[in-house]
Amino acid sequence: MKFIRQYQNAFTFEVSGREKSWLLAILKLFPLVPLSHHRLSKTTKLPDQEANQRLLEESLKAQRDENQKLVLAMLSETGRFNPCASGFRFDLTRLEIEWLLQVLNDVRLGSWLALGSPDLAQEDQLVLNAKTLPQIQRMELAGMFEMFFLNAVSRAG
Amino acid sequence: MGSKSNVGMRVVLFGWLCRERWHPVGENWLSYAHTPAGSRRSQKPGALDSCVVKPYFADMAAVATPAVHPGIQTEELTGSSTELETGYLVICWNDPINLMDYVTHVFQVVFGWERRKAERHMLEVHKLGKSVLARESLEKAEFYVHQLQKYQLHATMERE
Repeated sequence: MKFIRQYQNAFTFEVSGREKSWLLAILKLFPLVPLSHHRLSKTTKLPDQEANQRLLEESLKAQRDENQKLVLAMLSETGRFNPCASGFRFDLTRLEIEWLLQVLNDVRLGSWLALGSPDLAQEDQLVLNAKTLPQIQRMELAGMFEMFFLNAVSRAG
Repeated sequence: MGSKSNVGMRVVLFGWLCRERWHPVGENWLSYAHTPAGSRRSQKPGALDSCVVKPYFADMAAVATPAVHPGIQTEELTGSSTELETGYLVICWNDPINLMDYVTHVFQVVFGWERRKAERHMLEVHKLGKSVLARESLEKAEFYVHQLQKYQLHATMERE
């Protein structure tokens, strides 16, 4: 997977056929994080907390629906991935990278939650077996793509 | 600090001075400005030799512009006292899943911070378990929490 160039607002990337299928498979999983996962406050009783919490969830749902539309559009868009010698090239705008990062991190966080929120620094907490393997794969792949896009944005300034 | 009688004495003395010393020249009371040597007032002996006496109250009425002190702004606060006093802290909590570069990027995007500042807060989250990102009103704090949660960061708002 390579970051080829940035020209004005367009970032050009190159992926192999396998990487492309991984990326699309990850995007298809969105959304994974339950809306109730996010809380407005951890400790404090806020004014109208229940109503505000409901508003937050509604707002997150609207955002998620919007992201889902963009994902579906991207998946079904012909001509997004253009064949080249070493795989496929595709362009993304800065805005598209932002929502892609949100989508990828949703898959990463959702997979981690499905694993029981293990502490990844403690090796013994992450048990590798037939049941956990798909979740771990998704989590790691989503993280890999995230880092890839973040590096591109960072290099472009 | 003077006593009441002391103040009374001063007022009487002051009135006398105005009446006896300056009023007879046909002018009300004083606003002093330096005048060139040789002018009418500058030739009179006394401590105010180099000054000219101009009608004070007449000027006051004509030039009633408020004093403006550059650099000092007053801002009228509105709202109930509780609203004004209570601040809400936007806090980002540590979790083992969000990547450090990702968290830095989100801080930059949401708050418009430079990379160095975003990294400092990210490291605070990583090392201390949390970082206070902003202190805001209820509405603004809610907005920031929503923005951070959109990126799946573990962010909440807490009353200060």
